[in-house]
Amino acid sequence: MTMRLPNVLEEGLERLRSGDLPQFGLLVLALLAATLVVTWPARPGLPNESWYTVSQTRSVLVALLALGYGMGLPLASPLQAAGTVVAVSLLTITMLPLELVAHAGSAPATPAWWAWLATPVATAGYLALGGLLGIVVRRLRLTALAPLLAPAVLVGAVAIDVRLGVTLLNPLTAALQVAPGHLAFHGAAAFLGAAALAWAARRRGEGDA
Amino acid sequence: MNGRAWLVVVLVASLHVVHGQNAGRLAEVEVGFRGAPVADAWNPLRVTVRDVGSGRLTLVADQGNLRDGEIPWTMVVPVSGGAGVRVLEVDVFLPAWRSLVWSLEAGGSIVASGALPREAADRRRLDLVVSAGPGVVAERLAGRVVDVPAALLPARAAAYDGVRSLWIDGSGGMPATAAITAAAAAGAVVVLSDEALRDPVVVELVGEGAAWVPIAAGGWWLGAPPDGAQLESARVDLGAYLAAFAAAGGVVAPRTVSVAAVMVTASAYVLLVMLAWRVGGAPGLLTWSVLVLGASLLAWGAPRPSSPTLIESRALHVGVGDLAWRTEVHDLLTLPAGVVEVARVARPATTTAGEQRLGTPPGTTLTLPRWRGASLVESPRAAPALLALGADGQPVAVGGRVLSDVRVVGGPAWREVAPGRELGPASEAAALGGDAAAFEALLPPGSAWARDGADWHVALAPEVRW
Repeated sequence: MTMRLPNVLEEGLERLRSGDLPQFGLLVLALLAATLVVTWPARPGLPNESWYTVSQTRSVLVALLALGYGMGLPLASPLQAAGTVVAVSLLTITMLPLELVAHAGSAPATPAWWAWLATPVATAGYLALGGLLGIVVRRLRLTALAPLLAPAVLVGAVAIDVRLGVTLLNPLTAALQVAPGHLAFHGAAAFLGAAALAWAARRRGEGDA
Repeated sequence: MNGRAWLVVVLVASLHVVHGQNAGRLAEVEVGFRGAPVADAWNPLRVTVRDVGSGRLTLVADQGNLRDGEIPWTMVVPVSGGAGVRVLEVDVFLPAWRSLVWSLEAGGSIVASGALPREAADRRRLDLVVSAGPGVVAERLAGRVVDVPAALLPARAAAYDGVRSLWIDGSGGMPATAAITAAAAAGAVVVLSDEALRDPVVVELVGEGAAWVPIAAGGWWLGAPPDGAQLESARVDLGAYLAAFAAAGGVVAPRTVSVAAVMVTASAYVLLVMLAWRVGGAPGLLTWSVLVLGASLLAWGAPRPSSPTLIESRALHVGVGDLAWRTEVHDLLTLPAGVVEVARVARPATTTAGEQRLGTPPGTTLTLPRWRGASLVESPRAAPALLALGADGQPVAVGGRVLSDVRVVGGPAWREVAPGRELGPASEAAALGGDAAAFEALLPPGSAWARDGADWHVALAPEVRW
């Protein structure tokens, strides 16, 4: 007897099996593993500072990946969009054990649970932001600029946080410390993004009808 | 304002005046012997409070400089108050300070406060004189001579950390035997005049005949009064011993997993995850879940150090005969940045911001950046010696412990020395390396030293060192 998974999960696992997502997944996981190995102390007695680099690398990779795939959500069917959300979420969770190795070795003051709590919320937030960005790009007919927009948004987020002196949008600082503001922002973005995408999907359905 | 109102104002004002006059005498704080502190040393602290409730005395010494800014060293001393006069005597470590302020807090308000000028941060050791005529010694030594009543000499070795010599001529009364023994144990040269030696208690303590009788890290000077140069020569440089001992230890940052292991495991994890996704469906999801969970457990367990703060403690004993000067060094390494606490009253080996808390429970806290090591040194005290030199100059275990790696400076070595057992056959002393060699180079020839685990024991050669 084979167990039947919900359609959304099946779609998400399918996205991880074929298409471009497995390739991007392998790329980001390999990049993170390489970062871990390169920053791991080469001999005993040296301080283990690997977590500080690995966590920031992971945080930026999650942001780029989720923003990029989020921009494609408004164009996809609701099932495909949900599948993408599931696939990207599974991919970002896959990164966490690699960060946990670095955390255990470096023993930073930041608790280990922070990455496990913040990553799913931040992924949902970035996907929603990407979705909103996708809608805006389509409206303004600037789809050619879409690949540049994800890094540009990140640079903007860093600049805003640095300017305001807070940890709200910046994935680099949010990775290194418990930042409730960061969590709240991405939680709210995920909620608003989901609402906006649902609204857009309904509008599109009405248009097709 | 009518006459009654004026009366009230005058009454209130007079109450303030009375309160202010009393406040000036509520508490007295004396740092060092007769208010003469020694910088970079443990000093006696005497707190006298009158009709003040229980509170705490806080001393803050700023060790900073222009380059590093403020580096505060805080000492917190609980003060048990109450009706009448209460006197508290403890020992605190005073670093070389830029500013030193103190305040006594009781009942939620500051009842007294004060400061010591920067000029008082003098590193020169004191020459204490118990005499009716201390001027003679002051003229002879031209150092930091302090006249101290016999009754005020504490019986704690730590109080004499900044004392070079203690002169007793009998005219100013005889201090308690425990006090002069504590001074000698702490490394001070106790100069006893002929008149002082007429006291049978003193004679019983120091013996007769020799002009110099070493004991623990100090000794009794029974001959012609020494001058400053002779005192310097007679003293054991415990600071140098301690610095060499502290340098020989230190906690090494742990690394439990090699780079190769991390590389192989991380690569295998990534490949297995990709394979699980290729499988797809429920088996793929299940495999992925098991992989993430298993990898997380492995990641959390394997490379994690046993504790985020690693502390290793070891003691140094330096003595002659049955008595030794003893101090303990706590080497610590903190992996996360933060406040590290050792439940002992200690001082940092190097200039560091921190807090020393006396009372119950005692503790010393340091604020350290991540992956930073530091050494804390406890206040010295007198302790029974475990290693001594026999009449033939050979090492003898006088405590209940078996000591290993026994060496005589400039002489032979033994694998171990056990109490009540003959020394085994001596061997050629193997060449020492690094910090141990530097430590041995400081010891006078003929001295013996041995190890008891991480503790080091030194039996100084009872030679005349000047």
